Parts: sequence; structure tokens; C-alpha cells
Amino acid sequence: MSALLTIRGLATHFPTQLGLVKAVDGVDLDVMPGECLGVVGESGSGKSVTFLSVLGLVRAPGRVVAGSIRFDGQELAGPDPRAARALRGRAIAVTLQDAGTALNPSMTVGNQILESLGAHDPGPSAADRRRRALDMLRLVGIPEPETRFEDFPHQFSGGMRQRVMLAIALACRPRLLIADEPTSALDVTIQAQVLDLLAELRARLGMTVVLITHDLGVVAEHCDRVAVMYAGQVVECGPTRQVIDLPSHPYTRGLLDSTPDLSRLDRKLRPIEGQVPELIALGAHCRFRDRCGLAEPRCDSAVAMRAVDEGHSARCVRAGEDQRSVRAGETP
Amino acid sequence: MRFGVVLERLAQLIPVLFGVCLVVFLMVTLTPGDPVEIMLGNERSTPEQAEELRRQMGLHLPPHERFFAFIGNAVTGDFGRSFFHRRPVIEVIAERLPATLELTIVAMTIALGLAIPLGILAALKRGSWLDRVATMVSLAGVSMPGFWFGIMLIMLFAVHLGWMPVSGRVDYALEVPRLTGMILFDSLAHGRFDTFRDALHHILMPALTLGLAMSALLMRVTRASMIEVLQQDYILFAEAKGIGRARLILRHGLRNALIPTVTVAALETGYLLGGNTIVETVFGWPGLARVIVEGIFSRDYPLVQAGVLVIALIYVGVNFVADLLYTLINPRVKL
Ligand SMILES: Nc1ncnc2c1ncn2[C@@H]1O[C@H](COP(=O)(O)OP(=O)(O)O)[C@@H](O)[C@H]1O
Ligand SMILES: [Mg+2]
Repeated sequence: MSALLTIRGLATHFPTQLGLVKAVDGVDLDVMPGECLGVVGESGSGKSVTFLSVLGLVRAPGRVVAGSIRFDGQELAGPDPRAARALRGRAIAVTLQDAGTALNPSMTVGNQILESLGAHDPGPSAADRRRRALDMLRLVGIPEPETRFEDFPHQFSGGMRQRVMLAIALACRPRLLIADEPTSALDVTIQAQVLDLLAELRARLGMTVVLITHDLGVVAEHCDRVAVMYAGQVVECGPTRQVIDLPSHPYTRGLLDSTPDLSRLDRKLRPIEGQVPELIALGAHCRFRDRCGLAEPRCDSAVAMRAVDEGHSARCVRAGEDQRSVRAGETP
Repeated sequence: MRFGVVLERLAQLIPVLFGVCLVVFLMVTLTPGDPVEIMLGNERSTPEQAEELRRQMGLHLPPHERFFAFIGNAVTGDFGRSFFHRRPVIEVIAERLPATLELTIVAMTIALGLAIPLGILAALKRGSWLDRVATMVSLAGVSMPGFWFGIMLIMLFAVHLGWMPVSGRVDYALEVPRLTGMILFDSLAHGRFDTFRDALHHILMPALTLGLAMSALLMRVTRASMIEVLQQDYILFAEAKGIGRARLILRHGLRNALIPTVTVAALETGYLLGGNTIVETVFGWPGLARVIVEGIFSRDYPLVQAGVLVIALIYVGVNFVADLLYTLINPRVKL
């Protein structure tokens, strides 16, 4: 099966006063049709910038400086920005982390849905668009859509706003939805509702979903495959079960060790020591070297992705050669 | 907005207006100079005649009685008679108000017409030469004294080049029947395009003097607010919907960025409607501010008191309307 979205060697840099921030630096990713791909990593690891690059929405002075982004065979990272523009909202949609700031405060939610429809799928009449917009509100579970249609975003609760944002994003039935941290801004009780809704919509609309999160628990429950990002690179990628059962990069191991597990309360959480490196003036060495308990001389030169298993690879010199040594830090 | 809120707002105005009346009354009363002497001027008159005039004008009463008489009459809509014009002051003011109103409308149109497009462009092309030029011009506009700019305009376009009339509202030969008192409007209503052209010619320089000064601040406000709005998440989200660039900038950007601009524009309009003493004087514009200045020189107490009260009323009125407008463009605010 060929991928719906293929990212190769993507590099997105931001010139700043302190120097060139290499927010995304050589990312390779495949998103298969129909799957839910989880993208995890600490905040600042380049998850959002990677997918804003896909949409052609990196803000100046930031720029995609290298790489290829192919959606359904079509190149989006080429010199013509119209390629990405033509797909935005129609074939590829996005939801942002905080619906409280992502919705236009001076526009009714009804009009914000109608606007998406008007841009890509006007249909025969205004009445028809209105009916479809109401259907969207109903689909995402907004009670009394007819009355809420004329309401402004601030008149909704946080969870309802997240649903409204989904309704807007999905209005034109995109093939790919990029959900950027859909639950990070929500109360824990609401988080599960929104994730369940996302899963239900994915099944009903047959969408492919990229679920960006920093919560491995969410990935374990909802994603078929997972890509772990660290300091602007993908450091491990594979089927969710395999990556969780057999983490092949010390960073993934560290993420797992610092994720609470209610079924193993006796287990001690172990946060990863140190901090994400500055994305300016990074050396060629493994980016996790300075935080890694297993660092060795080989880590001083550049490390490529190495296959661990069928469809599972990691950016570690030990990956695939000696599993026990990577997992040496495992808590008994 | 609820009716009760409107009433409450109006009730809040009473102490404000009372305060304005008191301050104006004190200032007028404490200004040295006797209106009777000024009115009689060089004419030979006996002390008896002067005393008689003083009695007619109510000036024989002690100040506090005069103040309460003024308030009492004002409440019933009677602002007294002008000493100088010898007719009800309200008539004099009503005659002059349209000139100021007309100047305000044209000046504000110029100001907004320049400020909003330039503010948007400067925000979109931040750091470009266009942004730098616009910022410099607006800095000059804010700091340039209006009378100096007005005089420069007159010297260049009226005196030197002879393209523009030096002063007044319209050529006297061209008076049109009075409808609203705003000559531009009245001449159009009567189909008098010659008068319209002439009035436009007259109003251009004073309106430009006021408008450029106003547009400077408005442009800076629009630019700053547009820059802030364009960084918001909702702009990114709207762009991700794949809508056109014009719609993105106007409907999502400008619509939200205009909220502070409207607030400043309303304050400036209130200020302009009070009449600009310097501009009305430099351009011989027979508006509200000029009539008050004339009233001060002739110690025309009733005229000055009523004139200032009208300005205060206009100012609070405009701000009230601005608040209403604000709730319209910013759905998050409820009065
Ligand atoms: N406009 C920008 N200017 C400079 N640096 C930026 C900008 N946007 C993002 N970055 C940098 O890119 C890195 C990755 O950001 P992001 O993709 O938002 O992280 P994530 O979504 O994984 O939390 C961050 O370290 C951040 O400093
Ligand atoms: Mg992010």
C-alpha cells in the first residue's frame, strides 16, 4: 500500500536574532491511508512545525528549506505555494491545540463553518450550505445546533469549542485530519470525550488522522502507529504496540518510564534528566547524547534511522543490534 | 442593549453636565472685563444707560443667583439671549454647528481613508520601506502643530499657486437654500454642482489639516492592532481552511483589528465635533469653536456658556454612540 502523505528530509528553519533555529531538521514520515498515526514528543520537539510545513503555513521568517512533501503523489514543498493552498481545508484539515484562541471571536460559529463550505464546496444554494453546516454541528455532538448556529465562540464551553473546531475542520470532508494536541487544553474528564469523538468521526468519515500529542497513553489507546520526535527529528517510528513493548531509542524508553500507569502503581516514575537541547548550532552528534545514560563514542557522529523490525526503526546506534542494552535501564 | 442600561447611562450624565456648567460659569464670571462696557464701546453713554443694560442682561444679580437661573433655564431648554447677536444663543449655535459638523465628517473621512489602508499595508509589510515611510509620516503628523501645517497649506496652495481659496466655506455668490446647513449636502440635494465643487474646494485644506493629524494616530493604532491580530491562532486556523487571502486579511484580520481603531476614531470625532479653534481661526471657518472664541472676546456670557455645554453634550453623546458601536463590532462585550 502506498502512503497518503510522504515526508522526506524535511527541514524547516527559523532565522532569529540568536541564530538559526532548526525546528525541523531532516524528518522522514509516512502516513498510510486510513490509519491513525500518533506523533509524540516533548513540547518544542518540532511536531507542530512539521505539520504546519505540510500545510504550507509556516510563518515568516520561518521557511521550509529542504525536503519533499508528497500528498497522494502530489508535491507540496515545491516552489509553487498554490499546491499546498489548494489542498488546505479541502483534502487536508487541521485542528489547533486551543480552540479558545483558534476560533475567530467576532464571527458566529455557523458562519465559520459556512466559510469553509463556501471556499471549497459551495453546493447548489445557501440553504443547502446551511443545512450541511447544521449537520456538521450535529455530527460533532453540539446540542440544539439550530440555536447554537448564531452563537459566538465565547458562548461555548471549552469542550464544546473543541467540537466546533472539529466541525469547521471537517466541513469539507478532508481525507487527512491533523489534530494538533486536541486535548492538551482541556479538563481530564472532557479529554476522553473529545478523543472518543475523534475516533468515532474517523471511523464514520473514513479519515486518515495524525494525532499530535505528548501523552503516550493517548497514543497507546488511539493510534495504529507512532512516531516519536526529539529536537526536530523523528527518533523512533513503528507500530504502536511494538514501540511500547520494545522501545528501541533511549528517549522513547524515557518517555515510557515517565508516563504514569494506573495498573502499575508500584512502579516508580523516572523523569528524563536534563533538557531538550537548543535547536541552534546543533552538532552532528546524536541529539539525545547528552541526556542519554548509554552514550558511547559512536554517538559522537551522526546517527541514521536503523531498522529494528518490520516497519519499526529507531535513530540509535544500538537499535536492532543489541536490544537488551537499550532496555538495560528498564525498571524491574 | 437593555433599556434600563441606557437610562442608567443617561442618569450618570447629569452630574457630569452640572460640573461642566459650573466650571464654565466660573471661568466666564472670573474673566476680567465687563460685557456692558464692551457692548457700549466708544459710544457716549450715561451711567444710567449702562445700569439699565446691566439689568436687562441680568448682570445686576449676585453670581450664585445668576448661576442657578442659568441652570434652571437650561433645563427647560432656554439658554438665554446672546448679548452680542441679540437673539437666542441657541439660534446662533444652531447656525454654526453644521459648519463644524461638515468639517468633522470630511476630516474624519480623510483620516480613516488614509489610516486604515496604510495601517493594513504597514502591518502586512512590516519593516519594508512602505512601513518605514508610513511610520515616519505618521510621526510627523502627530507632532506637527495644526496651525503651522494649515498656514503652510494656505501659503503654498492659496497664496502662491492660487489653486485654493484662502478662507470661508463657499463663495458668497453661490449661496444655496439652507436645508441642513451643511453646504456640501445641501448643494447636492438641490442639484447645484457648481456650489458643491466650490464648497469642496473650500473645505479641502481645513479638512486635510485636521484629517492628516487625526490619521496619524489612527494609522499607528490600526497597524499595531493588525500586527497583533495577524499573529493570533484564529488567523492561522482560518488560513488552514483554505480561504482566499483578501478574505483572510479583511474578514478575519481587519474585522478584529478595527476594534481599537473604532474606539480611537470615536474619541477623535467627539473632539472634532467640538470644533477646532486653531483650524477654524486659520481658515476662517465659521464653526462652533470660532463662535465661542468670538463670544469670549465680546464677553458674551450666555453664548459661551451654551456653546461649551453643547460641546460637552456632543462629546458624551459621541462616546455613548461609540460604546454602542463597540458592542456591535466586539461580540464579547455586552453593555
Ligand atoms: N516563529 C518561530 N520563531 C522561532 N522559532 C520557532 C517559531 N515557531 C517554532 N519555533 C521553534 O521550533 C521548535 C519546535 O516548535 P513546535 O513545532 O511548535 O514544537 P511542538 O509542537 O513539538 O511543541 C521550538 O523549539 C520553537 O522554539
Ligand atoms: Mg505544538
